[in-house]
Amino acid sequence: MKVYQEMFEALSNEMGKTIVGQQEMIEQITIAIMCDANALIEGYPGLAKTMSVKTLSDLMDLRFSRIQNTPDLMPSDITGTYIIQEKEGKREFVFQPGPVFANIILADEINRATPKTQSALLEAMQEKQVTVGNSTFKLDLPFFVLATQNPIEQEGTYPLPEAQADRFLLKIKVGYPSLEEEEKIVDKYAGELVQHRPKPILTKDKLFKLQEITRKVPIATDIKRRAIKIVTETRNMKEKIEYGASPRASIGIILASRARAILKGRAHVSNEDINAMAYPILRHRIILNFEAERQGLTTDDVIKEVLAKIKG
Amino acid sequence: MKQFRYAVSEINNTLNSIILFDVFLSTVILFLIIYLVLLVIGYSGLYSIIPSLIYLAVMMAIKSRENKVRTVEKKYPMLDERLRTAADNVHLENEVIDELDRELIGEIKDVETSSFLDTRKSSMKIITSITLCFIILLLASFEIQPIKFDPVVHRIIRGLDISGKSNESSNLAMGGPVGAGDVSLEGEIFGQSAPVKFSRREEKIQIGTTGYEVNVRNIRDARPQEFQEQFPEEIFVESAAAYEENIPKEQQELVRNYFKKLAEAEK
Repeated sequence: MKVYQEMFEALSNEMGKTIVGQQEMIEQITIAIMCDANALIEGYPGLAKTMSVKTLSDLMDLRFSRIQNTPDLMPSDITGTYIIQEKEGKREFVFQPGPVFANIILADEINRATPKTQSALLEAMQEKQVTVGNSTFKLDLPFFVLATQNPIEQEGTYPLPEAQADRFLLKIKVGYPSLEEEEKIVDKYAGELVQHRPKPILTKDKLFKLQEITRKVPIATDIKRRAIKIVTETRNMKEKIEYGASPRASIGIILASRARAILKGRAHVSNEDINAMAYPILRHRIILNFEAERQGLTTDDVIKEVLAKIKG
Repeated sequence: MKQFRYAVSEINNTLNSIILFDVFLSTVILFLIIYLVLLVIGYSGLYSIIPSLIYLAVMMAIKSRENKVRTVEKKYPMLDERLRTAADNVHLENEVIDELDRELIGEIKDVETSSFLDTRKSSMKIITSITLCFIILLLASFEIQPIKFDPVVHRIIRGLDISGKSNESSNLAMGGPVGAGDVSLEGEIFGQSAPVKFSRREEKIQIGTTGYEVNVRNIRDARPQEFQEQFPEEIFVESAAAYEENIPKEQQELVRNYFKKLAEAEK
C-alpha cells in the first residue's frame, strides 16, 4: 500500500504545480478513476474544474477530449459519424470517431446539452461502447466521463434526470479556494507565465492494476453493514427525504471507500472512508421533500444527519 | 495467510479461557452466597448447585457470543478496524489482505494476554470466595441456625394455598376455632416435644422401630382344620305350672307378680 500511497503523493505534488488547492476534488476524481467510474463535478465557473481534469489526464498518460455541451450539440457530434471518403478512386463511408473515443472525457456543462445528446453520452458511459448506424464500436479502456455542471444559470438548461445522475458514481462539489490559496493562484497566473508540462506518473497498465487492487481491499463485516444501513436509512427517513438512494449507492459507497483506503495508504476500509465517501455518493441520489427544503436544508445536511444517526 | 489464521484462533482461545475463568469465579461466588443463605434459613445447601449451574450456562452462552476481536481492538486502539477486517476476511487471499495480515502479525506480538485479565477484579472474587467459605464452615461447625425459617415458609405457602384448610390453619395460628381434624403446624406433629416427666425425675422416652422377626424354618403348608358345630342349649321357663297348683286362685296373681319382679331384678 505504501507504493500506491507514494504514487498518489507524487501525483498530487505534480498536480499541485498546476492546480492550487482543491485537494478534495482531485482526491475524489482519482477515486472515481480508480473505481473505473464516472463523476459529476459541480461548481461555479473559474474553480479549475476543467484544468484539474486535463492535468490529471496528462499525469495518467491518457487520451483526453473535451466536449463543450450546448443545446444544439447533436449525438453524432459526440459519438462520431460516417463520412464519405474517396479511396483509390472509390467513394466509401468511413467512420469518423467523435470526441467520445478517448480515455478521459470532460463533458463540460452537461446540463446544457439536450436530453437526446445527454443520453448518447450516458449510453457510452454505461456500455463503454458506441453504436452508430448498424455498427458498434468498443471504446478504448480505461474510459471515464467527468461531467461538469454549473449550479447557477439554470435557464435554458436540461438538468440531468435522477435516473441518469445515478449513473455517475460521485457528485463532486467544488468549493471556493481559501484566501491563502487564492493568493497563490493570483501569484501563479497573474504574474509571469511559466509553462509547466506535467510528467506522466501513472501509465495505463498501472492504472488497470490499481483498479484491480481497489476491488480487493478488504472490509470488515460491521463496516460494510454500516455503509449499507446508511444507504437504506435514506429510504426510511421519510420526514426529510422523498426518494432515497438505490442499491447502486451501496455498491458505490463500498467501492469508493476501498479506493480511498488505498489513497490513504491503508490495506483496509475504515469507517472514516465510509463517512467521507457518503457525501459524494449520496448527494445526487437523494431527493429532499418539501419539509426539508422549507427548513433550508441541503442534501449534505441530511447526509450528515444520517451519518450521525448510524454511527460506526 | 495461515500464520494470521493461527493468530486469530489463538486470540479466540486465550480470551475464551479468560472468560471461562472469570465466569467460573462468579459462579463460585454465587454458589457460596446461595449456599450460605440456604444454610441460614435451614435448607440443604446443595440446592444452590441448580441456580449456579444455570448462571454458568447462561453466562457462558452470552460471553462466548462476544466478538473477541473487538475486545482486543478495545484494549489496543492501534489495531482498531484492522484486526476485525483481517479476521472477517481470513478465508480470502489476495495481495492486499496478505499485506494487512503481515502488518497485523507484527503488531499482534505486542498484545499481552495479561492485559485482558483484570487481576484486581479476579483477586477480589477469589478473596470473596474464600471469605464465604470460612463463614459457611463456621456456621456448619457451630451448628448455628440463626433464623428458623421453616414455619414462616410453611405459613406463607399455606397462606397462598387456595383450599379451605389453609384458612382454618390461619385461624389456628391466630388463635381461632379448630376443627376436629385439624392439626396444629406450630408444634411437633406428635404433640409436645418435651420429654415425659414422672414425678420430679425426667425420663427420656425413645420410640424404637417395631421388629418383625420371621422364622423361615417354621413356615409350613396350611393344614385343613375341622370345626364342630356347637349351639347353646335352649332355656325354658317351667315355673308357672309349679306354683299355680297349690296356691289359691285369689293369691296366684300376687305370686306371679312376685316372680316377675324377681326376674327383673336379676337382669
